[in-house]
Amino acid sequence: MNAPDTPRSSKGLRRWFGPSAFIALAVLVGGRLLLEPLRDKAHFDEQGMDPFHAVEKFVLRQDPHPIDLAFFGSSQSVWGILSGNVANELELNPRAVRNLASPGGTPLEAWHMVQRNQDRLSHLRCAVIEINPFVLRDALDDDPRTMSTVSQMGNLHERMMLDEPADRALQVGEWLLPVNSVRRSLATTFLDVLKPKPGNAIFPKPDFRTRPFAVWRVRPGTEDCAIQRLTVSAKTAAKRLILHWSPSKLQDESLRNLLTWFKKRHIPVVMHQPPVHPDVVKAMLEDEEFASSYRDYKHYLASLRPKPLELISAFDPANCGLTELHLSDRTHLNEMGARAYSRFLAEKLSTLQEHIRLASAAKSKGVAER
Amino acid sequence: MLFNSTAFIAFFLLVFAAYWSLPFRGQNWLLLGASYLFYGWWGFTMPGLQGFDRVLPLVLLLLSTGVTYYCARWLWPLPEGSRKRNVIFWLGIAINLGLLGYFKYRVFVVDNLAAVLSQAGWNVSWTIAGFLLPAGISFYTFQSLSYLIDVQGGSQKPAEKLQDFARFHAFFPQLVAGPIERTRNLLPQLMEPRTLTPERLWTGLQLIIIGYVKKVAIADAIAPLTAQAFSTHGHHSGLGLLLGVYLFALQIYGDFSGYTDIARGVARLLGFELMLNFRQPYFSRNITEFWERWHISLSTWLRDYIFVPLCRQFRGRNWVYFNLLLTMLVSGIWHGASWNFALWGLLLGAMLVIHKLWSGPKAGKHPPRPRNAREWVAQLTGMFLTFHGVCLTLILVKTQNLPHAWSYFSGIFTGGALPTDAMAALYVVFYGAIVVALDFPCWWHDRELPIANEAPAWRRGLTYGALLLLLTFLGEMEAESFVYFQF
Repeated sequence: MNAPDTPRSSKGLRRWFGPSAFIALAVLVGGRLLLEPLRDKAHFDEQGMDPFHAVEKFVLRQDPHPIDLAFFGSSQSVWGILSGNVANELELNPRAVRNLASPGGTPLEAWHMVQRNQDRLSHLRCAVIEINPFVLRDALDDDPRTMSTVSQMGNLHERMMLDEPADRALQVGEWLLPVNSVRRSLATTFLDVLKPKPGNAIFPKPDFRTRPFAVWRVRPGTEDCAIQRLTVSAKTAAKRLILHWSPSKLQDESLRNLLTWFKKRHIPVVMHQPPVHPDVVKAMLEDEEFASSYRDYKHYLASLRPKPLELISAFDPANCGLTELHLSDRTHLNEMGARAYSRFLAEKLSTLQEHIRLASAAKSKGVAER
Repeated sequence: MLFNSTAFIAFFLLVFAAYWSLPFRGQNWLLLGASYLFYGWWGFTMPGLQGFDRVLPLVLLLLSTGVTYYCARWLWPLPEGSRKRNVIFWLGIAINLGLLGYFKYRVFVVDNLAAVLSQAGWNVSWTIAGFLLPAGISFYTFQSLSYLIDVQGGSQKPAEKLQDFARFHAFFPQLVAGPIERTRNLLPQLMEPRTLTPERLWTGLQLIIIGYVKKVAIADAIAPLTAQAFSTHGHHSGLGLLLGVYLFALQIYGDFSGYTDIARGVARLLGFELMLNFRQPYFSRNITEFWERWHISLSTWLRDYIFVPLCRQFRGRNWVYFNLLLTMLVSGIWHGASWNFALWGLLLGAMLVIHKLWSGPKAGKHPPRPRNAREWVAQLTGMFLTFHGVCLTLILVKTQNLPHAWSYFSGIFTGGALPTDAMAALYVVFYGAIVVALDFPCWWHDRELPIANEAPAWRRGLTYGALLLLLTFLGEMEAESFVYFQF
């Protein structure tokens, strides 16, 4: 790799490239190809993002108990849905209800997770999919988290669906010579070797809600109750959510694939739109430009096929009896909000019992356990 | 623009290709334009910045360049000691320090003034304009100051043309986090034609690879763990806190020396030689040696422009200790506008004084490499004590305020351990081993790179291939900012 082995007397390219450069290149390419099987292994990421299959490994696969109800979504669902509370409300075994959402989670991640875990998810009694304009918009295609997911698991077709030509080129390059996609943290390597069981102190908890909101936990009567993360103005938050909204081709196809997959297995799908801060809702409705983008988004939702069993819109927190005190920032619920919203969702699901047969699942589980 | 971002890699490839295809004059103009684009990018793309704030960092750099250049040009022909010459010199110093003071220290000064006044019963509240701290302002200000001082002292002839000085002042590889270059090293290189040889190309690339490994595979991979350890939330055991400090020591070294390695490598690919900024500091056997190996460009700057002038003013053995403390206090305040940094500087100054008192005139002379078991034990003990002394001071760098620093420090001695500490211990051992593997050969053979130029091709190929693989396997290319940007 260094000059001394470059023959000083030679001319042209040979003057610049000695054998060590080629050895280094061979070690990199050969080593990288040897590492390729790691791509499908789980990687526990502190941020809890799922490109590295952390949620899949530590929430979905580690517990072999059959799953009746699964939630898919982004950080809004991570912080807004308490699977244990939903299970209690529906009188289900808590192990039969899983929150498979991850921060930055998009339909693309959910679709890949479903494909990799068909045996575990084919017997669901209901799939609850979060939809929000932010994760579905084309502008999210170049988000580092989406790019991470695509480089880790995207096929060539998916890479070619990215919005920006530069991103497409980057991802096709990564597909041809994968460099970023087997990254592991030392923590993951350690966990893979030790294989801790659930309950062990070092067992990772991707759904543990430690990040990004240290103020998620609410202690009534203390200053924690005050909303501390309103650092983004309501207008900026509304802009990021909806302004000039148009669907991402990649996310649109993934969402439709998901719906089709569940439909083929007769698994009812309920979609829900989690609440955002009342000021954001106000900003969206008062400004005609925002409102028009929101209408485009609603038209898009109406166009989705196969049609979901139910679309629960709780975008305005008032729709589900929540106020600004239930939010830890502009778009995420705090602990108090998560409890209320989980109860609200459970109540909505129980009204759909006829279609999703969760009660019979609970009853049959109860009999089996007895 | 961050070195560890795709934008920089694309930027540098374009600059590199264009640079070597242009004649000398074209290279110079390209270098200037590229430097301003590199620096301006930070403001143009920073989320949350709007309007004039976007170009403010670039405007400040241009202002500092113009003021420093013209002050140096105007004072140079005037007779030494003349009143006019002194006025121009101090004007240049005051404007540069004023910019640094206003943008870096105003909040600190105003907050403390308000606190003092409120003690006296005057409750005042000032509205402070909310500018961001422009990246690298401390670095280029010190570069301006040394230039002005050298010109005023007569040891440096001022640059003939504004564009020559502007290239020196804004040279992008070292603009935002050093090394703080001296005029006599960099300016002549900028005035003469450069060449690229195979040796320069490959040693430059090796420095860049090592720099990226240190920054991306070591520092950024450790960062989440140190953030957790130093967070005020959550429960930490004594062992966990101790491991947190060790990890921060590895992180800050990987971060800063990694930046320097990339900067030196990039400069070398453009035909420039930047000064060495780190020489395996954690192998230092005493605190004096540590400061000769850590951030060398700053420590020599402080020595030449603060300590030596102070020693000329305040002569005598006892004054030396005072001068040393004062110099280290300046170093602390240069690093950050908080009492933590002031105390950090004083603490390091106190350590240097104690070492000087302990070792007497031999304090500046360091032993050769150990040759037998006894020397190994003695030198390893020295390294252990020095490393822990440095770690102790690093608590002040990473904590938010003095009570937090104290609670962290005292927490270490409460003892106890948690099962989760095993992960931190693993990180310390693993990343510590990588740092030792990279630094030990350099320290032992006193050379720049871990593998000698004369080593067989297969050994060099294997080493750098493995480092590239480590980068793809453990690297966190999330464009994490560099810790030293805040200084």
